Amino acid sequence: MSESNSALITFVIYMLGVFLLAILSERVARGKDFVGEYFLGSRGFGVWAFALTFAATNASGGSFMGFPALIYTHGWSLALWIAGYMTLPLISMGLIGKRLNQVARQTNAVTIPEIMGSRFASPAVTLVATLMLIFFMFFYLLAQFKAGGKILSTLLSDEPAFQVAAAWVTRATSDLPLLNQASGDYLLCLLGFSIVVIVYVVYGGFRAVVWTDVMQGIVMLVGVVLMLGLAVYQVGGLERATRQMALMTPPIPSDAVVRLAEPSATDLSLPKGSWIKQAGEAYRTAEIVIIPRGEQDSPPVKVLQITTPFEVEKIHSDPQVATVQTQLGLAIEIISERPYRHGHGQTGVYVSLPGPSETSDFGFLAIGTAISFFIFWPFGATGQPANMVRLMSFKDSRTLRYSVVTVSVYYAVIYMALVVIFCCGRVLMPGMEIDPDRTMPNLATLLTREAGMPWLAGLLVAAPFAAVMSSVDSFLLLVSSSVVRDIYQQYVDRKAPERTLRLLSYGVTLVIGVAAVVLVIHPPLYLQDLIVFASGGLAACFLVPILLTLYWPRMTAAGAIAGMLGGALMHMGLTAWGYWQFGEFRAYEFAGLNPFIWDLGLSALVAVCISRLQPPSQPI
Amino acid sequence: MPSKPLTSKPLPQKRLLQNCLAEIRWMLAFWLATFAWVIGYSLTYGRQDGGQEPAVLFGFPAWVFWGVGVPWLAATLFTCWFALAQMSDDALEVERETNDPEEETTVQP
Repeated sequence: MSESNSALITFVIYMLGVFLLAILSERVARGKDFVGEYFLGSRGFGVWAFALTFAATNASGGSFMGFPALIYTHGWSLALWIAGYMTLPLISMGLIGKRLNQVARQTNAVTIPEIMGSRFASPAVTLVATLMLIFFMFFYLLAQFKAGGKILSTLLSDEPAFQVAAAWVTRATSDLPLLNQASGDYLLCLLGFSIVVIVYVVYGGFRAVVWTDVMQGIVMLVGVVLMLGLAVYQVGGLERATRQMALMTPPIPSDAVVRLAEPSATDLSLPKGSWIKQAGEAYRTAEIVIIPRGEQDSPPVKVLQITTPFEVEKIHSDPQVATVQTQLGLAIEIISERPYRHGHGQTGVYVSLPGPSETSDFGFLAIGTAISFFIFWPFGATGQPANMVRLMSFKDSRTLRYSVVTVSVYYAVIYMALVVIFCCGRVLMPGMEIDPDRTMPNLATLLTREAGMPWLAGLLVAAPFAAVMSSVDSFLLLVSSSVVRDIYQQYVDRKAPERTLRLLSYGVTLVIGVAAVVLVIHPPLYLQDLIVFASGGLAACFLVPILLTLYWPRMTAAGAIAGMLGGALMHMGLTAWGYWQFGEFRAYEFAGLNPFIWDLGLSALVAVCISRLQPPSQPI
Repeated sequence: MPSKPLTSKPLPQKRLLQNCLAEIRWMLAFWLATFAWVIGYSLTYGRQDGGQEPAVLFGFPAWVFWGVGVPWLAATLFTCWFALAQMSDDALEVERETNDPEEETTVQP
């Protein structure tokens, strides 16, 4: 495999594997009760399938794109930011796993709203839970589809064959309404990603989702372990990386004019990421620079000024940078600077708390934020319906116990390794702040090229794609199961024949998937913020009510509804307050704490108070 | 087959419920202990005055090693021990008393 199209070829092989698993799972499902099989895999998953689907669903694309970008930008403080994952497997699987699985079997439920409604014999509880789940989950689904398209286009952006195809799509859609609003590369990746996911979810159902999750979980683990070895070796050992990070100072984002020695004879363009050096300083362009013919200066552009001396020296000694610079006679004039609000000019900020920050005077990880995330990771994961559904699918208690062990070891390896890898990446690749989401694919390419194994880059960059795909498939099935089971079977036709349910399930999954794709062709603003909004909202809405439903004898239907609405309304209220306060789509952090804490507080308060005011619905 | 409401009689399998509640106490104590260790240690020792040479242990900043790495290892070991030695193997299947023959066929084997 050549270096040039390695990621593309890996992607194609990967897709073939996914389709193969979908076909196999459909064959296994033949002859079984349709709804139980399609939405829960007949509740028969063993240790490896259950553990890896749980692990992969939790590790969304953010773990392999956003998280590396954060490590690169803020350094070792990310070790504390992610530390809550050390308790996540035991808390999120152990707290409700056995009890939820038992009640789901007892009530023959395949969705979370169904379990809650059955517990109180209350259709109102089912309806509220279903509406809440669909509301928050659909936002989540939109964001994940967009993330899938974006991640894939990022990973493939350097592939020659992909560039040709993307240019063709751009031309072909230039006159088509709606489609011409998206760039060709994004559109191509969104369609490719969506078709694959929708087809294998529709065809194979929950079993296909779980089996592909297993494959994706293995790809993630292998990719991370290989990268760890290469990164530590190439940086000269972890201690060297940490000591060099201790000497680094944050770069200065600036606006500047790029100047030629003489007026340009033709229109000149410098790609984003070009290096410019002058008089002991080094700059990297953060956007494309165009100098029109006959002009000497570019319009003002965003650049990144490198401030760490040994990084500047490294860039100055790069022969490629020297060649470009000599040919063009480039110089740069800074117009304005936007220094980091925390850490500017200070050494040691990348190896200590709270980490440098471009936007906050308190640094990246203020005390309240650190506390909030240690609470949010394990308990937020417990409250995610996608995880709860998985807890309904393992076959016995022994499977749960061994899966807790498996996921615990898996997360310990993956997340600590990611922190180490991208701290090494910080030393190996200066100036990635211009596009931090490209940290993962760029580092994978660099490490494998330096190791003389460019073909390996394809496997490494498959990891983030696998992560986002394993999240999308789960959310897609979760929404369609709620529509079929909690709305159609509850309110339209309780005795619907299996053939009707089968066709309906396929149809709903397809329609929801296609609707999500159409909506993200031209994605709404604040889509990334919607991920935070939706995941926080789901946990705020479901964690306390499901815990009390399973364990508290005095819980009532009204208490469950109040708990769900209380958590959801608090979440939306704090988000509205944040929008009003900051003009951005982000929740207000009262007392410096993540809104999740306040959401849970109100949810618990109203659930308990309302239940106490009523006679118990039934003893538990 | 739609789900069945549980109004006819209390949820059975009391033993599983009692075991789960006992295990939850362990889990919450475990979470509190890791919270105290990780947050307490890291926020106390993770801050550094500018220009100070950082303490490094096995390649990690010392505060990461003692405040995140070691507790993560301890948490993983505890999780393994707890899941393998303390969590009970409760039966998840439920024998429901019912007069509805259709329902009996839908209960999982």
